[in-house]
Amino acid sequence: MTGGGVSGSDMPSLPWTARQDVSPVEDTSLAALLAGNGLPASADSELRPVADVLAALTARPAGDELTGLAAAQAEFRRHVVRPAGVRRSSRRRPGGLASRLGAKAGAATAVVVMGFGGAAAAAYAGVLPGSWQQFAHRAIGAPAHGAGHDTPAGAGAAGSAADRPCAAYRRALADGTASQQAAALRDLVQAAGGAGKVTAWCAAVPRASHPAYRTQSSGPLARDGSPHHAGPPHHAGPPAGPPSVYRGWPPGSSPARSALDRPARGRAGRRPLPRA
Amino acid sequence: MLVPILGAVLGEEFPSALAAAQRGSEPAFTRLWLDANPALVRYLRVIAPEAAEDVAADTWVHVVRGLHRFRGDEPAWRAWLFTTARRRLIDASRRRSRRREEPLHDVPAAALPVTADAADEAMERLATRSAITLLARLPRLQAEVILLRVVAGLETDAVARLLGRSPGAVRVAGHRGLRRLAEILAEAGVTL
Repeated sequence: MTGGGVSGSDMPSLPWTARQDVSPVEDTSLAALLAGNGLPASADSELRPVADVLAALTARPAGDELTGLAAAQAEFRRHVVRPAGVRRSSRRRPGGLASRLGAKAGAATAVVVMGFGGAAAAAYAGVLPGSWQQFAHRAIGAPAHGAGHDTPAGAGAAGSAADRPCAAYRRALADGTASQQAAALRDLVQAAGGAGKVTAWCAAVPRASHPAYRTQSSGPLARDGSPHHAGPPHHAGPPAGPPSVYRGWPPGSSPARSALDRPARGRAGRRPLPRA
Repeated sequence: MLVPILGAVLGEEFPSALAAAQRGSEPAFTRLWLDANPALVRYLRVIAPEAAEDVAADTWVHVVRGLHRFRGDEPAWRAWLFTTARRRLIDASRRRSRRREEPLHDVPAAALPVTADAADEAMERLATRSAITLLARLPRLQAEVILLRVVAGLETDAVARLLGRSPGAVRVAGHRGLRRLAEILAEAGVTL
């Protein structure tokens, strides 16, 4: 309404038209049409053609509206029929395996799925389940089952600084959090000069069994998962670009990266789900 | 006499059909597809006439991949299907990679709905095509609301969620669209 002294141009410009011309009966008819209930007998005759158009829109399907079925069925066979069995079996295995082998073996199993670099590192770390470790021993020269980090102090080879990344990774696998394992693996990959060289690199250096080293390395892990004194030994420096363990996967989507960078349990920052 | 395809839909059989499809039954999935695809194609032919078949196919790819995660009744299924279609359409528009392909008549004759008379079917098809053409003349929002309400069979609230509008805005758009349709028909003297 326009009060005294207020011009018509001061009135707000509303984006919708006035609805005085619309009768309640017509609104009811339109609502009925939209709900698929047909046109009431009292409806305006102008709406009859509209009702016919809507009926045509819901007519039985024509042949050209049923094309694409074969492609959809093929997609269904690919993603529902066959993978259903795969999903079921993959759901069962990790749970049963982890419960049987314990947290240590579970960590090793998780590392295996990271890819070759992770698998090789886990194999060398000697924390794979017995038969897998024995297989790795025969296949790639990883330590035999039972010859892992239980080597008595001072027995056999002398300690080596070059083994520190290997040892740090073994310890992180055994006792560290996921982020510590990730950091230790990164150090190890850098030290070795690539994920594919981890096994050979660790195999080439003497195991760190020196009493002094064992004392140091048995202390608490640094925040990055590596011993405080650990550093890359004599090598040509870290490889250029991102750690080679990530190569071949798109950034942020590699299984290795997602497994490695998974936050540690109990880490703050996860927002609770909103209440419904 | 036009026979609506959206009257009973699957109704009480929907839960068992969905569950069977999720377990890997191809006949059950085929049933879901045959029930929904015509409505999906009609919707897309109005709002994306050049890419309707491509987007429909892309929609089913995504639906198939997410099928095992879906939980809900038939209205929720339809809402999910059309929401997926709308998202695929937006993606397709962004990519600007619309391809035009000749339709492949790959549905076996036995799977086609039984028609009483070829002449009736031809008339129905012509009428449906004309109706789609008419609806495409409406503003996009009005056309979408009418299609989602009438062809997809969604309630006002579901359409509002799908379009990101308020239920009131959806109601108004639907009514305006029907009124505009009446005007177009009156101006052109169109009879189906």
